[in-house]
Amino acid sequence: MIELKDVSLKYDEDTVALNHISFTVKQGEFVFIVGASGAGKSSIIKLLLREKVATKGTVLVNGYDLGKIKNSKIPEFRRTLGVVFQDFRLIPTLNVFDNVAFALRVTNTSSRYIRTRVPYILDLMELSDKAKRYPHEISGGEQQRVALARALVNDPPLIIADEPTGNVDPALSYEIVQLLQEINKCGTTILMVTHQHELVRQFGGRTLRVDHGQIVFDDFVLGGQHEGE
Amino acid sequence: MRANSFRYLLKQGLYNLWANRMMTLASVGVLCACLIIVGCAVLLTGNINSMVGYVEDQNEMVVFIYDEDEVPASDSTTSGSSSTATIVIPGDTGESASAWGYVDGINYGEEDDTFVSQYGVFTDADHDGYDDNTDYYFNFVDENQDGYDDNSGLYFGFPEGYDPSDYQVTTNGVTAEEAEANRENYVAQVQSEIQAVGNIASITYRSKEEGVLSLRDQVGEDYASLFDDDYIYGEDNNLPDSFIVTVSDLSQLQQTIDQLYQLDEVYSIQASTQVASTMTTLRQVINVVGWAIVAALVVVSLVIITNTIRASIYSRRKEINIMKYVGATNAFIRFPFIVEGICLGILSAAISFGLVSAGYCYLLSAGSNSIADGWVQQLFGQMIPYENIAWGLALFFLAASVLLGVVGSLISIRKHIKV
Repeated sequence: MIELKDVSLKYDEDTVALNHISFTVKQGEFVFIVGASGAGKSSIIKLLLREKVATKGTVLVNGYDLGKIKNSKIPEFRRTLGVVFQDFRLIPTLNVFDNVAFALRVTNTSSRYIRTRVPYILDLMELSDKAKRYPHEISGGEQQRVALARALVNDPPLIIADEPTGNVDPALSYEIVQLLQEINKCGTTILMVTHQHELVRQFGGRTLRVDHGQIVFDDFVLGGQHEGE
Repeated sequence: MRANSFRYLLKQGLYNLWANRMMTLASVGVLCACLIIVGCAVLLTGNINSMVGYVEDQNEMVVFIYDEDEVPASDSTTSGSSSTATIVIPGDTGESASAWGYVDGINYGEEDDTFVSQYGVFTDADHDGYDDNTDYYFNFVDENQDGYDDNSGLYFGFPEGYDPSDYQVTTNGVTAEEAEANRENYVAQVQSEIQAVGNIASITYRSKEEGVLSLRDQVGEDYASLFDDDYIYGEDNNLPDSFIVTVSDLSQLQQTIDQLYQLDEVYSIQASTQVASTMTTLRQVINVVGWAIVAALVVVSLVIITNTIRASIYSRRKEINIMKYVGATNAFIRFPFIVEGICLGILSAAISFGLVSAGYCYLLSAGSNSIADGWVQQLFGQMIPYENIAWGLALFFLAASVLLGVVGSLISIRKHIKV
């Protein structure tokens, strides 16, 4: 699913974001990526989304070699991912329904299919009654659920969540991770970047720690430190 | 572009115009302003050009020609010697009978003092104007050729075997009809020679008689009596025949005049070359200045419009960015913007065209209805008619604004689409 081999990312001679890192994520896994700000977490995400190209090493995602991929194929690659961002990144001029549907539109899906699939997903996210609302009319938590719905609607094999709980209160954060775990149980690979270590400790699972551009920890941790309420 | 997406993106383009309506309004406003200003400048320059052209066309020259028999360096026209017997018929000028007997070309017949005329054969040995035999006065006037004198009603008959068509009245050996025909031929010939010189826009023949008539009108009533009909139509009229000529290309006036002087028949030319050269210079200045201003306005317009569109797109950069992350292709992202650009263009063109047309037609009607002086009215009357400019204006506005809308949008997106 994801494979990084000896990857380095340099912005210039002095700024090294990632220094010879390697890891693999298999189909169906749920992986946390943690680390302090500036440690390199966002750089990994940028590589995975092909926002940046690795200066050294190989990055393989969903079968695509991101070092060798042609620019014209990048949209096609991105459609195999579902991405959730910290700042939600919803299109402000579209309502909830259309925002979620957008992910289907770019794959040239028929309107008929969209009419059934989107309500289904919205229902899953408990957003059915907000379908006609606009992003500025709903709460932060709801916006994040919309973003998640959009990430899900295409049924991608891999979901990358970049600080999905960053702008959201703790209770909601817990719910979101719970949601992700349920999605994961259905077979979707989930990669979640977060700086909220308590969350990781609550849920447990495979965790990658990044520090100063290197992976210093890659193992399973036990969850259940704080029984959520 | 697949069918599903096509309709969706088309609707998105239209929807976006509304969703970002302030920007849409700004873009339309700016496009309209620029189109109207440039359009007006073009129309103004074109019309001033046309008006100067009208003034230029009023510039006439008069080409005076020799009478046919006075043309120098050419063979004098041979008077056709008719094989038929001819005689001079005295007019009602009161000439004595002796006067008419002794002119060239008279065929007396075998005996002296026998005259053959279209009115018959007369013998007049004592030169008293009466036929010796019948004592008839043979100064007949018979215009309707019925054999009766028009004045006295006397029948004078014709000699046996006499055929009136054998005899004709001539002056200088040429009958009146022939003289008329010769003059017409001569005039036609000279006219075609003038035409052949080139650069001639119009030629109007003005006979010497018409020339004097126009002179008489000009000098006013006090002196009109100098030019009475006797003078005009008689032999004393020594005003030359002339042609009123206008040229197509006023800047070539002097060259055309020089070429006309080459013709033998041209006696003199009266032309206002000073005015002509002033007009030509004026025309050139207007052209250069006018179109330079138009060019400057076009450049300014381009700058303003591209800036406005760029600002409009910039305000939507986040939207474009998001679309890229969700996996939209560049074409998918561009298409709605192209739709927007086209709609902006069509809308702006329609509004601008409507306004400029209304203004122009108002000017056209105001020009013809104005109470102003005659020449101002005439000048305005020379405004290029609406039908001539309508299509060009519409096409220009449509093409320019759609092009600007679409190309402007596409160029502005490029930066944001690169992720």
